[in-house]
Amino acid sequence: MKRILLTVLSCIACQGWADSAVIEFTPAEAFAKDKPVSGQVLGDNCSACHGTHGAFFNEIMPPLAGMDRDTFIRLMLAFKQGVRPTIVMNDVAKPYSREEIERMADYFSNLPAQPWSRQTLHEEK
Amino acid sequence: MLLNRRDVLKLFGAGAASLALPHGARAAAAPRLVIVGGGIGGAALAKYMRILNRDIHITVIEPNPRFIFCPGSNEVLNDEVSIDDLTVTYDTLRHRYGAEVIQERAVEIDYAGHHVLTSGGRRVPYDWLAVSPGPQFIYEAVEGYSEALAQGDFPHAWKAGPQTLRLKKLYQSMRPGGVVVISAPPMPYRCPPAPYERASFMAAWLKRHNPTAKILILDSKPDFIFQANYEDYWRDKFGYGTDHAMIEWVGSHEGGTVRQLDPAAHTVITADGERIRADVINIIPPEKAGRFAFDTGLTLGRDWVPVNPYDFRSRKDPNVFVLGDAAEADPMVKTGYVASNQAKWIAQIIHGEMTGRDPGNPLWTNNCVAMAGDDYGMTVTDTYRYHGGKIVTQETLIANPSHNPHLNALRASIARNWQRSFRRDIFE
Repeated sequence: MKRILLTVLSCIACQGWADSAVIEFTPAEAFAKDKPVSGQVLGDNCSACHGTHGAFFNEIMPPLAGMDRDTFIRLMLAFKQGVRPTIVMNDVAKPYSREEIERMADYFSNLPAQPWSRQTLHEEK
Repeated sequence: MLLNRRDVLKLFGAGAASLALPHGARAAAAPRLVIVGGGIGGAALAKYMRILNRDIHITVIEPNPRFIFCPGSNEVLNDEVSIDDLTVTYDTLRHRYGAEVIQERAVEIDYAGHHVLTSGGRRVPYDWLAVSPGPQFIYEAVEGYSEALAQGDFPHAWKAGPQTLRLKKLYQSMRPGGVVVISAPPMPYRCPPAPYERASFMAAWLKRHNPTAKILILDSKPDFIFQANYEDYWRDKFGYGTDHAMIEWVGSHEGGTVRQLDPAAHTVITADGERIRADVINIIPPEKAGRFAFDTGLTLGRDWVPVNPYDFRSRKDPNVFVLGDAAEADPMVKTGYVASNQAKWIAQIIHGEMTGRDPGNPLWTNNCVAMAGDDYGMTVTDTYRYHGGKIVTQETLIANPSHNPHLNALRASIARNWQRSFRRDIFE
């Protein structure tokens, strides 16, 4: 049943919903031998939409700070594989390897689920 | 993780006012980062540098007391937002991120002495310098055009501010059935979809208030990003491709390149010698790196500043980083989005040098948005990696045109959310 549902969803993703033209695409595996990109460097690419440290809690695009690690990974893999149709996240998740998605999950799940504007930096020791 | 989270950021509930340390409280011998330019690249670098490192002394040299965001400024033309909505001050950089902001113009780099000289005669010492001056306009590429004309009746409005308001006034007070000419520049230039977004927003206003007016886009290139989306929308809303089209587009392959402006006759002259008279002429000139990059020799005889593709250190001097539109960072596009992600990466490089930690490899995205109307957004996702000693494009995906009004509206709401959250990511 789950598989049928996923197939149906992926068809919706492919037809008439938010599909995209592929101008250029190289799978993440092609970069597997390069030095790794840290979870923070990956995760800081999300901030323009999801907020600094993924911590805007009052916008349409959801906060990522403090997100459950496994939920993050499951969602990102579903976006990447196109089985969960979205407006833009299928495209956003597509270039990352599974390991990179796990590193991003480590990064965000360890950040406090607090609005960025109320966080403090470098509290006096 | 590269660094202990508690080193970087510690939650302590409310009280934004007490967030930052006064920079005088830091060690006098703290290393110094000086940033020339308080636009998106410079401001993002100051903020993200402080997030990574509590000790570094950060100075931003920027003559303007306020910054007006270009992203979202086409909406000013359509009465959707005001310039004030797009305007921020440097207070947060000062008070929350502990950056010193010197409101003077940087005029010279003393490379040997590691100083920047300012218009007010200061010598500002640095350990690392980051230069983010944005582009400048090559007025002479269009004979007869000039900065003085741009500040008068022929605004390019490619830097949000007074010229945006001037352009708005000009096209909104045009005679019934008047013609607007937009001359779109050749690549590379800041924000590739913006001329077409601008035309779309003007057309939406004109359709309501001056329905027989026309917009003619004369293009110095043969195609443009989101072309299928824009043309589809224009067909749907503005009779594109018919005799009654409100928007027409002429690519360079059809003689669209504007070579000359005859301001007295309100006429542009194309590469084919065609003379086109218009009520409003909006020439968006070709661009090159900002003047400071030329004055300081950073451009090394080129139009943009050559940089090391891994860390954005200039080819001229490894202690001087160059980021944003001014950097020659092919194949990256010139957007504020890319500038902000270059800034975050440069902060990693400097922090790595201070702490001896390897920041690993970079990855930069340009997951950007554009709009054709308040009911129609579009997205592009570019991913760039450092691979084989250069910057490579891993991915470019562009939203396909859709006639599904729900999808188009959702894309528009994503675009609006992005404009807001992006501004906050730089200045909040």
